[in-house]
Amino acid sequence: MGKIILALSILASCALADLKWAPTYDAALAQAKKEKKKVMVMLSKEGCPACEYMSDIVFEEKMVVSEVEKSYVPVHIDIHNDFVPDGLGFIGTPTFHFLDANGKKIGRYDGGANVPTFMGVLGKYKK
Amino acid sequence: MRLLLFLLISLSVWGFGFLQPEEAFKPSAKMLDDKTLGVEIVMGDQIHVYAEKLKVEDADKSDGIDFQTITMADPIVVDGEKVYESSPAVRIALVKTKALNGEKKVKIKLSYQGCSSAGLCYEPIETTLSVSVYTDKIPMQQPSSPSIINAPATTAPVLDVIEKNATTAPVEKKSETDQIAGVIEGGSLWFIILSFFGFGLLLALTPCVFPMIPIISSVIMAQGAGLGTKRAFWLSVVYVLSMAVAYTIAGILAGLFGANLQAAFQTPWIITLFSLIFVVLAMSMFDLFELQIPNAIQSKITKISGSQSGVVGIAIMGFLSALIVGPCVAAPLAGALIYIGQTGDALLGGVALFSLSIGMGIPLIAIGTSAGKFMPRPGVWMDNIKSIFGVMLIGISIWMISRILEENISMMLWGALAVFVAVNIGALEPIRGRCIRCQRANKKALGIIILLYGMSLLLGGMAGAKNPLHPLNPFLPSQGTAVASVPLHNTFERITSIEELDAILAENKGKKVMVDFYADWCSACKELEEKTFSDESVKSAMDGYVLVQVNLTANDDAAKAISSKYGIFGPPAILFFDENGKHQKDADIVGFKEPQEFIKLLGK
Repeated sequence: MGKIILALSILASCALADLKWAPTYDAALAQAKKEKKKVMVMLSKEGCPACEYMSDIVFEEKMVVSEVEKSYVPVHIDIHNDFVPDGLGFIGTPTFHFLDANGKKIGRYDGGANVPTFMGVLGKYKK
Repeated sequence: MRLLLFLLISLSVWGFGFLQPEEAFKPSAKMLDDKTLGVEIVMGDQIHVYAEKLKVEDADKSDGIDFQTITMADPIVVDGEKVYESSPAVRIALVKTKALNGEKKVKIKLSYQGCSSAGLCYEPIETTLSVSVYTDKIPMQQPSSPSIINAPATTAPVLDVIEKNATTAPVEKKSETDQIAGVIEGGSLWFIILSFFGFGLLLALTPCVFPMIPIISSVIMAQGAGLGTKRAFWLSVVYVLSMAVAYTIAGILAGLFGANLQAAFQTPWIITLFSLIFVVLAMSMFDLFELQIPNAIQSKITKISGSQSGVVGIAIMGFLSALIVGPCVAAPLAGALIYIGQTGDALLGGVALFSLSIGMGIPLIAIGTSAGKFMPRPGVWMDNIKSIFGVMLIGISIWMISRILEENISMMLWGALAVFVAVNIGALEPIRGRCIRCQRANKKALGIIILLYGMSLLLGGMAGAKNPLHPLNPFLPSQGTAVASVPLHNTFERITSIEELDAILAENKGKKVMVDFYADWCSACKELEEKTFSDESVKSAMDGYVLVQVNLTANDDAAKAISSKYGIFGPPAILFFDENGKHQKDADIVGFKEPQEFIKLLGK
């Protein structure tokens, strides 16, 4: 029964605008190469309200989701539980790194942002 | 160009404008007096530290100086987390564990983790501070507690601090499951047991129990003549108890499955479905149709029962009888089971149905013991009791569906039920025959009262009344004009800047203020407006507040200033201010909330 409810809630959340995160960093690079996109890495951790604001509110926003999916392959890295690739620095979370398909850094954004501000960031690195 | 400007502005507020960790947190330690060491963490603008992550320990436990107690200022609660927004003011009482004099270094291990309200959470930081201490005036550790002399004294004091924080922190509101558990632990468990027992007694007085009377009689007769009253009594008890076991199992199952069904009970179509099931069950109580096991099976079991003897046989018969009678009492039983299912508590389910069946069994024990000498005389009154169950079932059905109906509509349904009841007990029929202050007159009077109340509920509901205790409110002249001239509920005052908010707070001293941070580009905000704020019960719950909406759509300097002043990453967020205009940080609500949840949070 619990599983059914879980499945239902997953279905329900799919109905909302939901970002499709790549499963791993390497998969994101491979996908970016294939689709000729950039990579957006989100570094986060548990117990970080700003990270929660990004996942629960900003990345639920249709406008943001379509802008990310148009130009980027998003990948999510938990700095305490996942392997953080070399060179992706941070002073805290969330930190966003924007890379080209070869893994070359093209930009970094520290901290959370509201929808219009984050739209600006996405626009800045997409070319 | 404008885009460039926009980017510049946003970068200055959000972008790389964050303090480096070493600027954000500046820890230091110094002696406050001869034997007290003070530790401070000076924090940058908008920086806070989590109380849970703040730890102070003795870095060198063998240096002859121990930390006897560690105390800190109380943290405040922001968004459900205990935090320090300014230095926690740590005080450490030092003691010597061996003879020391002159200057010595004391090392303090300090670990902490914090975030900036502007939207960045720093990594956990661990640092060691070193302070020169003149040991001459530090007291020796008291020998009165020899057991901890050599124990690492720091562990105990740290625990002390944690305990202190736990007790001084505001009492957390109980979660929903705790509340349900509370109901069961509290007196209402007895209420449930008693009412189910009562229902059981009533059920025993319906024609439903008739099939059981021949069974119990024949089972006891089968024991042979000369059966003592005492033995007859015990056999009846065995019979009733085993019947109770069958129902108890049903109750436990309902509780178990119900636990998983609770979420489903929140969806409108499930509520509607169950509400309709109750109406159908009620119809069977009014004899519109009959729920029963086919006669053939019924008589077969009765026949077997004649040949059964001994305690085990009787127990089996009791269990089977529960199944025979099952369909007839199905309607009230289903009601009970669905109620239990909603509580989702297997223990409660078992206990409730056990007391229900004991209630049902008591008259059977009487019949069995008296070997059929005592028996309720069947008559119209038995069908009346059945009708009472019917009315109760319809009541449950209205109660269920009222969760998803407008209040005045459910009031009209109650009114309609009352009118039906009133007419059926003869409110509009003449009192026939000779009757001076007889029972029929009382019944008619009761009927008329129910009729009047039912009609006023109906009429009030049509006029939009919401309170069943004051159904005629919409018709009162003063109330009526008030309703017509001003909107029923407060509306939001829309503002965009700190100055406007400050002015509103100053103006409304003595009132509670609720501030909603909103933006056009925020779909969660719109959802909050359309689903939650427009909900009638939410509106009534918000009546006590001055409502303010801060529009952040422009995302300009004013919008950023007000967000950062109150530590909001962005919309949607709802803040509360008390009667003195003080921000109640622990009450902040972030993100979309369903009406029910919102009301609950508002209640805090």
